[in-house]
Amino acid sequence: MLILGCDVGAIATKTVIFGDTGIVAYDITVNNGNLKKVVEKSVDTAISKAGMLLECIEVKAGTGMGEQYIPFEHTTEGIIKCLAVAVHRIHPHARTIVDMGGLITTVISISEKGKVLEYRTSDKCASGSGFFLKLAAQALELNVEDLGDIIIPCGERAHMGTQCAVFGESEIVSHMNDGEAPEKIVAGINYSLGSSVATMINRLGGIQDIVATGGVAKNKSVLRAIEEILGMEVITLSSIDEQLVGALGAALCAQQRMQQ
Amino acid sequence: MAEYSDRKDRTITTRWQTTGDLAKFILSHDLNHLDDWGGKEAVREILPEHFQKNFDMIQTDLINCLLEEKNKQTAMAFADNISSWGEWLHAQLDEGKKVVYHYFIHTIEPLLALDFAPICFEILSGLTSALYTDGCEEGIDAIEAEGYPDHLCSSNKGAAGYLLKGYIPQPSCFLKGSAPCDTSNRIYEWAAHKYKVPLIVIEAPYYMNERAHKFLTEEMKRMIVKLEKIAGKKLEQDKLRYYIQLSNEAVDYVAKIQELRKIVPCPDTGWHRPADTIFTAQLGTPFARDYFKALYENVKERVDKGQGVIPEGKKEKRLAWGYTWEAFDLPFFNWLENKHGAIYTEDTLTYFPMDTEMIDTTNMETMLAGLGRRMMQMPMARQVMSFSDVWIKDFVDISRAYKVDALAIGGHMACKHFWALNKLLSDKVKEKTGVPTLRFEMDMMDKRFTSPAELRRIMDDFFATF
Amino acid sequence: MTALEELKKLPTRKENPYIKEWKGKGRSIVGFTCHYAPKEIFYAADIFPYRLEARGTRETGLADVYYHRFNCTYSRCILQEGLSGGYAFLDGLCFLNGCEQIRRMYEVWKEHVPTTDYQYMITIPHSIYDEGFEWYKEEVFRFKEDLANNFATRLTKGDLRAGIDVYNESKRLLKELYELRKSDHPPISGAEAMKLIFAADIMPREKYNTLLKEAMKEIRSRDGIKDYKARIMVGGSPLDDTQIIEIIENLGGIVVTDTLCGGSRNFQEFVEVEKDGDPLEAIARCYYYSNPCPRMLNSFDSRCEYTEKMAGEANVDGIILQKIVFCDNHSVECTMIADELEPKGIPVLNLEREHMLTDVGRVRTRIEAFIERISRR
Repeated sequence: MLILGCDVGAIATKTVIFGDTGIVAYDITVNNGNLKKVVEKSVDTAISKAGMLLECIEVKAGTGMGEQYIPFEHTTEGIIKCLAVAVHRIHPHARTIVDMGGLITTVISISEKGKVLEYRTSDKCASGSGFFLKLAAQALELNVEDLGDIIIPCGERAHMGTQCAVFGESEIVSHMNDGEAPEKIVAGINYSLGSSVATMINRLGGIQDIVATGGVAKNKSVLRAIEEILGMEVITLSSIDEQLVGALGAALCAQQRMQQ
Repeated sequence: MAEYSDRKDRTITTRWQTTGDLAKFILSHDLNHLDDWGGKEAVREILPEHFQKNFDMIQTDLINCLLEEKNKQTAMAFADNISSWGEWLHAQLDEGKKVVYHYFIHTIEPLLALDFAPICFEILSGLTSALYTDGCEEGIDAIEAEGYPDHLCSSNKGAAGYLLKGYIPQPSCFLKGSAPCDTSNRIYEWAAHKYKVPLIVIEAPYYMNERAHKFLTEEMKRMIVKLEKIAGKKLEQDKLRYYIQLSNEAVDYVAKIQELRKIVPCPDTGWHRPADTIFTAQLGTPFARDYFKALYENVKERVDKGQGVIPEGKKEKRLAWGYTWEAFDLPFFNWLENKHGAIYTEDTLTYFPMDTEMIDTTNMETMLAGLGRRMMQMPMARQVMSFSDVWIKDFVDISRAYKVDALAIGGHMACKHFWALNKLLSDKVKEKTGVPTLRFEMDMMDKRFTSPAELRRIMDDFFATF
Repeated sequence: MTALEELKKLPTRKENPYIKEWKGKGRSIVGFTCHYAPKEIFYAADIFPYRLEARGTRETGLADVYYHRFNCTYSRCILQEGLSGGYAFLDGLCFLNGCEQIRRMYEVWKEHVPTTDYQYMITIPHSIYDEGFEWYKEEVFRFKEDLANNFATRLTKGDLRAGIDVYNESKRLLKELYELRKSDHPPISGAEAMKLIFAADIMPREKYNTLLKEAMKEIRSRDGIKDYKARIMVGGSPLDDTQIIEIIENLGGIVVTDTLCGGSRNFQEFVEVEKDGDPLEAIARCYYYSNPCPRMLNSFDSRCEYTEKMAGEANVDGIILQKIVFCDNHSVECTMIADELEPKGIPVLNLEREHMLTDVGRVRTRIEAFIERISRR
């Protein structure tokens, strides 16, 4: 049986087609403009990769902050639960999940059985999120994807004092005006973001294993910063793209629902 | 039908009074949803003309929420209160009584006994935010336009903005308990300075002990001397006793309702809980007594029938609100019941401690001591004026006594004191009771901060983890 | 190193040599959080009172586990220092309910900073009146008892009088320093003066007095500063470093006075004990009645008068009120003061900042524009 899971996030829409053997096909489409059309496009792409038709997929599940834009009938799954279920399935030793998305970072503490014990989402502020990196990349005229490749020793990072995106942008400009090297500024930004995420992990006690998901988890420099601050390892899942975990979770939640 | 004032300085209070009458009018019809009558536009057409403009301003979701069968009775009490309070206030103003704006954590019996027209400053923002689509944003924007920062409390900002706009009457003085926060203190200081009227401060000591109680009792005496001077008359014992008796009656109903709320299934609806705070600021008036009496009767009726307030077949989830409610979206709490089966046990802003005493009305001395004690027990004053163990203990007690399943802690953006203790509160409650907690940011009266849709998304995510 | 140099360069916390020296003699150091802490009593008990500061603290990650982004960065930086061991040298800490954000730190500190053995809370009413004074006086009395009990010191009236004398001497010297700054050609820059002032609360006072007396000689012998564009007064939220003053002075301004709680508000009034008077009461009286903090209700007029008086005496061209984001007390106060003084022809710049000044560009631009507006040249 095939299950479609669709996670409509703040920056991208992710679709997976999940079958008995695992993920059959997937798609990641960046949100631009009309979200309903983006969702249609992402779903169509994933389905055609799987060589299927939408009608042939029996179970469809949606999650994420834009879930209401999914134009066909589907079950609605809570994103926190989706992440917990998917991470637990792939990495049963996980006790803390750090999902670093476009607008929101969520830290979830889960039990040995994968049950959500407690979670905290980042504050209503773009600082600890992918959006902050996007703004920073724009200010520096770089690609956001390239920010993670810059890992330099801490003494050489430019200091970012504030965790507010607006003040942050002003700080970046100050550093640029002072002639600071862009890689040092980038390292400073990554560290600043990592530091706010590490604080969130600390709020929930920081129990290992710690698994990172979401688009920002692709940024190695942010992960190293978190590890440096916590003194603990932060794992990424090798078997799945970091951005797809929520969508996979939606499919798994729908499957559980059916089995009940 | 009441005559409505068109005076600019009664803009807000007349608006409420009209809404109260309008709500009574609609509630008296056999109607459970505006759509039963063809939707909002259709209903508007059949309303008497003097209601139409007011009807346009009211949140549609709120009307539909109040029309639900389980909410109708308490909705009527709510409508009655704002209608009769408005009528009474305007009569006081017509008689030339002086307006005292007071903070919401102390009761107003002495103000009533001295023939003032007391208006709770924070409620101006809170009730307006609760009733109307545009909320109290106009007031908030007005004070921020003067250069005051956005991180001040919207409950103070809204009302301050209405003063600037001339939508509420000119004050003769302000009355402020010095707890719980700097932001409210500063706005009162600003207002008294701006309008060149006295600011009477009731100093709230930091501790919850006899020394603090003695001090507060003396503060009550000092306050009365100052108020007498402004009123130009002496406080009469019998008059004070009359209002305190009314206040005692109301508090007695509150205590009884609290007791009944411990029952499973919970017999009380959630939509009116922010309104309860509003009417707590009226303690001493017959309006508050009548309101809480009606609530009690409503709850008692359900208890007698063994009824709860969530849809049949749903499993009840018992929520405590570790800090505040939000005012701008009363239907939110109804939505929680209907969609998630989540009921509302207690919060910081309506909760009277389980050992709350009635004020002894024997003589002036006992009454003033009682008022001092009451201030120490008033919601929010109690938890916030002291060390954080008071707050934490309250929620450990609540979690146990009400068999709470989850503690939702919506943090009001402006409450710096809360943000400094949010983790301690959630850690300690979890450690002692095992109750899971949810914490999120919001602004109680400014929906532009965390919107109704976002609130619902937060709760959906939370309940999905259950 | 001259006395002036030593005071200017005095490092904070771990690097501060006086801490080691003091503790080396088996004596205690107790921190305090706010202007309303009666320092003379600490001193009388042979305790070195250290005003909590977070100079140079650039991160708040540990503090943010307990605090939140809606708390001001001043409080968060102080907590960060506590949590990261910066205050491990403290034997005790005296909190006050000066503001919301700092008073609530009491509990977090108690739970999570295990190195501080002794903690106390002194509370002070929110307005100034005689019965309120009685409350504060009792608080001060109780604190004195508790301090003496916990640190096993004798604390006689004589000890208190000695403590008072040391602090009064400091006040006299600081007044002299501020007098020098008022001249047309001040012999000391604002940044230098501020460093001397900061040193007062992070080193033993007797030693401080000796060094300051010595430093004053050097300052007096200097030529005055003539080439400035504008004379400026600084006010607003607490400052614990000179970054912002340096920016002002690098842009051609000179800071000649202030209304800061760690600055001029600290030494306006002397503790006066009558012949048979109670020194403890005199100490409490001095703190309670003089120079109210913006947290105090019904005292805006006196703060406004004080601001105007200080500005007038130092003949300033403008006032820079800097407020830390999320500081309720100062943010309202700064706007109210500006609204009063601007119509009287006193230019005021309201400047929002974080405790750790990192967006220097924005701050510099705003100050530059203000100096252009009020410039004498």
